[in-house]
Amino acid sequence: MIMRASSRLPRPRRARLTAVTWAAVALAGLMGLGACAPFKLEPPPGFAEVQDYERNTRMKAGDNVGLSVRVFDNVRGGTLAYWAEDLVTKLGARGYQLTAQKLVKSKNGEPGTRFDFDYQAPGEDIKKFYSAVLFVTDRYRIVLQVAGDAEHNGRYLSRIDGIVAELKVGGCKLGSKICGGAQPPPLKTPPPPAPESDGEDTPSEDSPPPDNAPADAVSQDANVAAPQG
Amino acid sequence: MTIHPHKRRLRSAGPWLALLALSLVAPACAKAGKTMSMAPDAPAADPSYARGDYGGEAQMGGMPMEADGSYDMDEMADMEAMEEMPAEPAPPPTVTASVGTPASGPASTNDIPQQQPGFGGLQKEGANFKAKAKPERHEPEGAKDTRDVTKKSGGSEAKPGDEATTTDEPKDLGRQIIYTAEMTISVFKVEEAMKKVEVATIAAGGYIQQMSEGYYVLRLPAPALRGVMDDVGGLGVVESRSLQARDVTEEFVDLQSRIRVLRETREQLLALLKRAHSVKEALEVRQALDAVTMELEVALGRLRMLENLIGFSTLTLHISERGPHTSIPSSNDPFPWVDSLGVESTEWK
Repeated sequence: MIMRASSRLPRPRRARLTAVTWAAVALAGLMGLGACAPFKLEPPPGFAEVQDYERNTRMKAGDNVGLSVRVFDNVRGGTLAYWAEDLVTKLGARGYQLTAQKLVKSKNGEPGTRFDFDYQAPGEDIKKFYSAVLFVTDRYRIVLQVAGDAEHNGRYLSRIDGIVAELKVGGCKLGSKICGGAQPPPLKTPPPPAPESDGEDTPSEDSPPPDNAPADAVSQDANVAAPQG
Repeated sequence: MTIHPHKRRLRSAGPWLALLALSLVAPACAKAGKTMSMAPDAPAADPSYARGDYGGEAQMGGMPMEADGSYDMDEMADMEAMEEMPAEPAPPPTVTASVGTPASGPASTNDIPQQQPGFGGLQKEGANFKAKAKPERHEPEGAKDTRDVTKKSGGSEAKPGDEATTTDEPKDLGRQIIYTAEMTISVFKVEEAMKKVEVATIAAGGYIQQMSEGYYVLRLPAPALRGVMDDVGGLGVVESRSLQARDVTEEFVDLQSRIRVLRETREQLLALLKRAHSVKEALEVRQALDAVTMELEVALGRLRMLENLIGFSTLTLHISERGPHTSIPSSNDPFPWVDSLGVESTEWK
């Protein structure tokens, strides 16, 4: 059709248009190929790449703090709110304590949600910090994770937003309702098990709130940001 | 004396029958001024032998060879009555004599067919007598001893005759079950977890049967098995857990019965050994005694092993180290993606 329209033009101008057209097609193709990559992230300062797979990239800092990006296929109906709740619920069942929830944005402007957790492995005395940043696009669920000993959390938690800002996520379609979708509501994890008392039933001030406590009770303590977007 | 047709069957009883006949008839004949040769096919039998009524005590391995010649002609009269026993079965009498107790008086023909199972070659003798009566079931003293053995974890052998109380019905021993469990857990620090496993095992009264890096075979008191499994599961993430129960009640009861019978048999053989009158007799009895003793020891060993397996459950434990390669298995989750997320899959060591 393009050729047919350009056939009425003079030959030099027609040739120039044809070249531009093919260049545009090639560029679009390259852009399209690039868009197929689920994510792109250069190792942040202080991290070295240990493993680079298309759907699982792992990096390591000198103090054994790990950074990884995992990619999972999205399914129809899978939104950021849905997967965020799934993530927090299941991690909470494994003993993770949600301490913070906030909106973040990727390098290409895709909104995601960051969850910060405290974690103490069963049978272990050392506490860990764990942050998971979740992006959901039409094609993918992308999770950027940072974890390490709790003693290092002050050094890394402040850097996570900057690391996320360097992350490009893909998988959005034109006119997508998934990409740029609504943020999840404030989520919470089950309270940690109460320490064994000496037989007294009176709860201490540090005891966790009961299960029927208002939802914002934990959110306020956990410094959970209000949902945005 | 003519040989009746039913006596020919007695010829197949073998040397034991002859030994028995000699032990009874020879002293009596000696007392009567007669002599008797050791014919292997002597058509006679001692009713008290088949019934298991023996007097006196004998030490295992002893070789009493003296012949006191205290038998009188009453026993000979019993022998004569035996030979003239009718072929048709007589009405079942009431048998009150207990097996394994000392003789309480002269034996009657009605007391004869108390056959002792597991009696080895001597059992054939009782078969030749054709059971005429259905004896009452008397639990021998060895049975109680066997039960006492089962209550002791060590399984030490009880001496017959320690407790003479008998019951008509065997006690209900309940179900005898061997529990075998297997667990696989993953932890961050294997060495620390192994130390905690050892502490939990010893605290529960168990012991370590086998150990290697990240692998344990633990023997735990059966009531403590579940508690220890819960404690071990708390050390990390439980990858798998299984528990098997094997019911060995039938084998257990069979072994107890077998031991009881073997003990009775041994007692009877010891008594017979004491009454042997020649080296040949003593050797033959001794051979049978050795066989019974060996069989008894094998049964006791098996019983002790069963008691150990029942009392102490086996827990096989595999401990693996968690790391970025480890994922947490989920049950029926259609979206198990979170299983591969978390500190374990992110942090490096």
